[in-house]
Amino acid sequence: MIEAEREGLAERRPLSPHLTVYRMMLTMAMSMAHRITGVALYLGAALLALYFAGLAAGPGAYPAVSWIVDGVTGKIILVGFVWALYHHLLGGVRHALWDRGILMGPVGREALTQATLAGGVILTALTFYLVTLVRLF
Amino acid sequence: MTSPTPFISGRTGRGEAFVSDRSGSTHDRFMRLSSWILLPLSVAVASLLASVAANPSYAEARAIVERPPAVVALIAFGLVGMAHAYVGAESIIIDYVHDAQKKALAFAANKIAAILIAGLWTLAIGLIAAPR
Repeated sequence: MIEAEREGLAERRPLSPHLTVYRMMLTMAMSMAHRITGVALYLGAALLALYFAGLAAGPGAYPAVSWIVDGVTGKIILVGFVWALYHHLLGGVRHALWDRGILMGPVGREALTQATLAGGVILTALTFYLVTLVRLF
Repeated sequence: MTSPTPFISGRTGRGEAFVSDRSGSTHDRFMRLSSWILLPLSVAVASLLASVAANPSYAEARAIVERPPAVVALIAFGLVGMAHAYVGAESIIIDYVHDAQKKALAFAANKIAAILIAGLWTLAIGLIAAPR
């Protein structure tokens, strides 16, 4: 009986993160963005795995996968992947700071969230700029 | 096993408390640990991908990817990153998919996709690194 009630309760449990209940705030939007970038990185990793497979297969197979890194589509994919990577990384750092109780006040948490939002864009631009100056690999 | 969690209380200030420790704690601990491992690897992979974007021809891209530091960074990123992605996707499924049958399907699809991507990624990088 108790188990049946629990199962019923599980079915009626509200969906996380209660999007329709709370007023949208930047911290909430960035929490959603953390998951969205995570999913984008999952899909991006699948594309990159295909690209590396084409690169490993040799020059004959390479043209079939080179669009993933070349041309306008390739640039959008790579810039998007690198931005998602940095955004997700900085989101993780933000959570690590909050885990330790750092910058959790009303002003601090907003500033930190804005910093991670800007940081993702700045680090992406910096990375693409630096590799044109210094061959890192 | 219990997990002391730091917090700030409006009444008592900073503190730590033991919280209930079930499967979510294992997920959480794994995500935190893998995040720290992925921090330097992500910077390395981002730099590498930017290099490939700047030099997309077959010979140039292969020369960038087959260097030993790139191979090590890529394989480590592929394995740790996909494990991190797998557990992260499980959390999303738990939060949003409530129907038991759909949840089981989503868990299985996530496991298959993560294994396939990590496998293909590692195999491809391994083949690129192998002497020709």
